[in-house]
Amino acid sequence: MSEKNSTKQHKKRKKRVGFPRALLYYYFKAMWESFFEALGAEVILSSPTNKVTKDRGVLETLDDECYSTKLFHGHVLDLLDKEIDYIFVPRFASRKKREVACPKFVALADILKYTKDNLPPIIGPHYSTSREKHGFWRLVKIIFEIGFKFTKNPLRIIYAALKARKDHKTAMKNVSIDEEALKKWENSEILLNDAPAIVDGEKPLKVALIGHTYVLNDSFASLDVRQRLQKLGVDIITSEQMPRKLLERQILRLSMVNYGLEFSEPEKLPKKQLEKHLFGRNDYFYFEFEHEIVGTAMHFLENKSIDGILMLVNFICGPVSVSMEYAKLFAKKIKSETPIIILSLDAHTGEAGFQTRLEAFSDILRMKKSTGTIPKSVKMVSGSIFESWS
Amino acid sequence: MTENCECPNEERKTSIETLSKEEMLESIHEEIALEVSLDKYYLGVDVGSISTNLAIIDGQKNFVESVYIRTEGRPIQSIQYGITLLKEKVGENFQISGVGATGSARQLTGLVVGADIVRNEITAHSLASLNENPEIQTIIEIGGQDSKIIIIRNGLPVDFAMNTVCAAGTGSFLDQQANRLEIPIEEFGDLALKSDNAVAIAGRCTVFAESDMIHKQQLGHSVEDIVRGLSEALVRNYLNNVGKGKEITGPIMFQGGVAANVGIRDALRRSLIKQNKIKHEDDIIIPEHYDVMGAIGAAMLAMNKIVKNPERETKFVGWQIPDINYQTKGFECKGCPNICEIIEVIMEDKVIARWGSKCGKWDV
Repeated sequence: MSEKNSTKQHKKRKKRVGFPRALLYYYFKAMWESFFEALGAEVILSSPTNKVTKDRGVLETLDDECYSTKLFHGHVLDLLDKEIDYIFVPRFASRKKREVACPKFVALADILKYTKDNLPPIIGPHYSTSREKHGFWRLVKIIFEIGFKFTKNPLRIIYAALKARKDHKTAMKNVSIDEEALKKWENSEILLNDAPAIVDGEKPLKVALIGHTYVLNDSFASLDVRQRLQKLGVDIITSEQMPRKLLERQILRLSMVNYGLEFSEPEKLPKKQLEKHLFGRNDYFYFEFEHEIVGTAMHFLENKSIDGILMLVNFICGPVSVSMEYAKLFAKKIKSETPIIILSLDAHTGEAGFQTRLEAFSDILRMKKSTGTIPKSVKMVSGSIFESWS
Repeated sequence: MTENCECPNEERKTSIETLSKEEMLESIHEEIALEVSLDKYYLGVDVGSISTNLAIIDGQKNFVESVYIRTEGRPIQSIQYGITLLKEKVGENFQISGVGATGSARQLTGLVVGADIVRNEITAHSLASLNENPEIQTIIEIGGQDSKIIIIRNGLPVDFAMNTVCAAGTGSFLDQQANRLEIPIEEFGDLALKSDNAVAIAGRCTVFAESDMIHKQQLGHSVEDIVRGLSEALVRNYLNNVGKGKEITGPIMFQGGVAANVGIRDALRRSLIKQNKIKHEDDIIIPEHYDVMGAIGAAMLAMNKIVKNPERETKFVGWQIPDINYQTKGFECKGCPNICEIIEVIMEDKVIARWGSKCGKWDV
């Protein structure tokens, strides 16, 4: 890590690999860090997003890029000041069969190559499971290609790869909870995040905070949404914390039939058929990182276990524009009574508008809660609280 | 016998229904429905980007007095001036039992006046409007630089939207165009009513509107027709942006400074009837104190807070607010790359608050 400055004084300096603290880093940090460290490299991270990162990133990129990509470029510029020998930007397309991530991820390395001067060599392996030849052996090839840049010992490379795999699994386990824990949270038996403040002696609200990991875990990009909600007395669960199996089950219920959306009941999907279902269908919702977004929204729109849903998106995210519509259609279809608000963020630091919307949303949820049961005949306008704020 | 049996049954049914509705409204208006205390008065202060509004209500939520002035980019001075005007109206010995603050400058306002409660505009407007008429389904609020829509169902706000980056569908759009036509904004509405042939004007952006307007003038259209065209452009812009995808149904409460404009009222009525959103012209209600609804709502919030906690003393600074020397100072903290813009509020040489820092190291 960056604080290991003492290594500089060594005669044989460790090779320094820079990771931009943006986008995919938030998903794979455990894997990447332990892999490179086990190979004997020093991992250099860009500083957490700040005003300078933002300003440099916004200046550097085209207007059409999404806010998160703009921040990514800011992080790269930050890294270039840190004397790195390599920069790690994988050309990552997908990790499961028939799935894709955001197409921007594949392009990042090449965009950097052609737009930045004085760039150190990029380590940018291309991996895409939707391609036929990108299976296990491809992965082995990538691992050794990278490994030999840092060590001549093949055993060390294998050890690094296995350690990375193990650490990634542990990290994933630590982030997401199991279904039992979810039940407990829904019944207010446990807390998954900071304890919410007590507002006017009232019980905390329960809200699902939905968004990409790289938005929710970047306090600058998300305008400190977690702390703001905590102060408003809101107990949250984030989409990355949701049980993975539950999310996949929700996604399999989605199917596009004749350009219309259909949702099957969860029990109508026999378990054995799931796999077949997945690979045999061409209407499968294939955006890998959208699964947790749509899946979480579907779960909470259906189960009245929480007070509301807050969806945070970075302007102008392509995949989210699809998942947002899916969530809205689903809410309409099942006549959900769970209020949902969608806030989109861009490169502005005036936070008053954001705060006003959060406050108004929590006020509405509290008023709804204090009235107790609302007659069933009443049509709640749900899934329609749509706010674009940019 | 059977008839006798059915009758009370039916009666009971209806009474249950009305009761449950009553009950529901009562609980919904928990914020509003409070003990009668005639001798207590509550102040609400709403400081927005364009106007500063102050309103006083009594313990029965009746309107007592109000002040509507322009903020002109100096919120503290305008609060002080507003308090001065209000003091002249009600007298120095007028007792205030609670103060509420709202509006985009609510944080600062709360400090300056010593508010017992600081809440957002959506909540304040909903409360004030529901108190005026509990039956309403939609609140349309068009102010100086922002506009909002609040959807109410069964006396509960369930949905809202505020305008985004652009101020095209708001009062300042009208202000600018009236300036260009050299018409006092007060006469704008009456002028629009004189026309019965609106000119089509692009209302999405003031820049386009201006070139469109000049072109139409050169073609020889009358000022009345152009003014009416502008009114329709504003309404169209509002309904297409802020009201996009919302279930607008009557009765609608139309408030905010722009509600004073008869031309806009008329354009809004016509447009909503045309879109089958409402059936009668009467479905749009303009409350008596349309311009200070936010302040009334803030006063109601303060009253609620005080009545809920009877032992609580109000934090109201007092009628001497105009004589106190308030200052704000801004500086950039260079402690880290975030370079936060810190605002310092100084009351009589004493720093009473600082905000703007991400890490909280400047908090008082």
